[in-house]
Amino acid sequence: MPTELTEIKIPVEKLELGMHVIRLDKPWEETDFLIQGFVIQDRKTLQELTEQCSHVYIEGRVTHNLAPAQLRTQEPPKEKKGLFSRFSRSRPTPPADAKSGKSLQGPPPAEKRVRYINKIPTERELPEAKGTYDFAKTTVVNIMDGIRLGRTIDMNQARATVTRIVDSVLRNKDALAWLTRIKNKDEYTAEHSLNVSILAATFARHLGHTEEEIAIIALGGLLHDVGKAKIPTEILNKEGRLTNEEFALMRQHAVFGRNLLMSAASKDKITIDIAHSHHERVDGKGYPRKLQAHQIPYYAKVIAIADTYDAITSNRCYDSGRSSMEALDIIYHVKGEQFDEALALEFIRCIGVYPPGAIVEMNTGEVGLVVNTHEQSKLKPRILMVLDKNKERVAAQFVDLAKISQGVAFSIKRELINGSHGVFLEDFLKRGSLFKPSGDSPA
Amino acid sequence: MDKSGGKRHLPRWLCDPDFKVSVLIDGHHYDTVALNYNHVGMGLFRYERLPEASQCTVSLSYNSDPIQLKDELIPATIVYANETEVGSHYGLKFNLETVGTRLLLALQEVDRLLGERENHSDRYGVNS
Repeated sequence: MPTELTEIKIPVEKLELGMHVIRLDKPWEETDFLIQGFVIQDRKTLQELTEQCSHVYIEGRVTHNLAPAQLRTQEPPKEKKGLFSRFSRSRPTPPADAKSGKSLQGPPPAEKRVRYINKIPTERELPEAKGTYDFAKTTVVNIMDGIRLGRTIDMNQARATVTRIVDSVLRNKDALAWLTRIKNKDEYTAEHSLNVSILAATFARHLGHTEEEIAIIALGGLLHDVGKAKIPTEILNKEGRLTNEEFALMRQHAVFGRNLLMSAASKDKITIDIAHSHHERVDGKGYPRKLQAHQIPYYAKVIAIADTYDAITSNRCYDSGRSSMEALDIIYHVKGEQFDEALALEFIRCIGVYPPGAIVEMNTGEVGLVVNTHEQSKLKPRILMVLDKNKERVAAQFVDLAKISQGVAFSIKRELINGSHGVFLEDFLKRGSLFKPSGDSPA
Repeated sequence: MDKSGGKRHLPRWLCDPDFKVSVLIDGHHYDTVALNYNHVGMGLFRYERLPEASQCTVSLSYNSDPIQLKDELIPATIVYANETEVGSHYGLKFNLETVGTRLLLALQEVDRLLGERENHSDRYGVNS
């Protein structure tokens, strides 16, 4: 247990703004405080604590609602390199066990790959997936808010959420992936964590991992950025360019995340490793520990790629996200330096140039939404056509490019951003157009 | 942002390893990863952030038969900057009105060559 998270008893007269109160000298119910655990944000709260208590218990580290310049004076926790990656070096490919810290060195070899098929069509899974997505987003928001209020992470809640995500991804790999395309800049941190979980689970399925391993990877994705709960929200949501100090603080989220997960009642060693190591680079130039490639846990290498893909394609408070292709261009070019090369190429294969949820313009000028992709022909997905060549609305109709006869010149010209020509993914989801197909076009 | 149909009308081709690009800001060179290119602009990636700037000069070398460009300086506008914890992504638009005819033709030739070389059905060569 890192000492920086130890509970410290402190007389109320020594309390200061920014301190993180986690316990009082009496039951919360006997006080006027409605929230059990909080950061002291103002003088009024300080005064109320002084009036109602003689001493309180605070987290043994000043919280980060202070000026970045003050934060820099804190010594970062001492690091141990490869704390849990030792397990992965000593065991070739054992079954994963998150609690024991056993891990994998890489994706399963071809003969051990689990082959999955979509059990139900995307449009049938989407309503269930939407429910799962909303539920999971609430979970992430609760976890992040809880941390800010001084609660520990409820790993059981996180695991239950991941079970729903994995169940959906195993039934159909495209439905939740479709939902990751709808980006809300105001909810970036929560949506990003969830999207990384979904993308990582989809990628793990593509790699042929077992269901248990997929769940471990998805959990790591869900909690990989949990340390951002320790970053002041005004920095997380800042519309302008971050100062160098703020940027440096943002990069500390990996250490914050490790510490938070280490303090959880139910420790999950692989998840801790992922939170700590997902910004390490295979060329040894990453952060926070500059691990060498062999020291970086395999799961963290998987999450690092999904993290980058979603970060680049997401809307931020200061700008809109970029296309899937732009993100894949980055992953392709920094493979072998930032990312494990083989995993990066496999991720590109998994996503494809036109992923589910992409809005695409055809060579005829018509516009459609990619509903699902085919493993063997990623450039020929199944599309819901929504605009004609004059960009006028048409009755939505599915066209499966993989089933179009050879010689018919009907192909995707380019990907468009969400909102192009008034086509918004969320509108189609709300209207349920995807759930009421008018049949596949014979093309 | 152009909501009418995407952000650009010309395709950006995937840069090959022959691209060597750095960005010059306030007299300092910053190495970057060349992502994609057309003669109007290009996408760059850099793990560490560039200094804050709206204008810069691109130093471009591209040595791939039959083209040989070495340290060509192209004034550019930074039209997009997404600086994240995973690295920073920049979109640059070349200030073509300020470059000479020789360089303009060379930039167009690189554009044409990359377009010819790109596998349009497998941009990253992962499916072949």
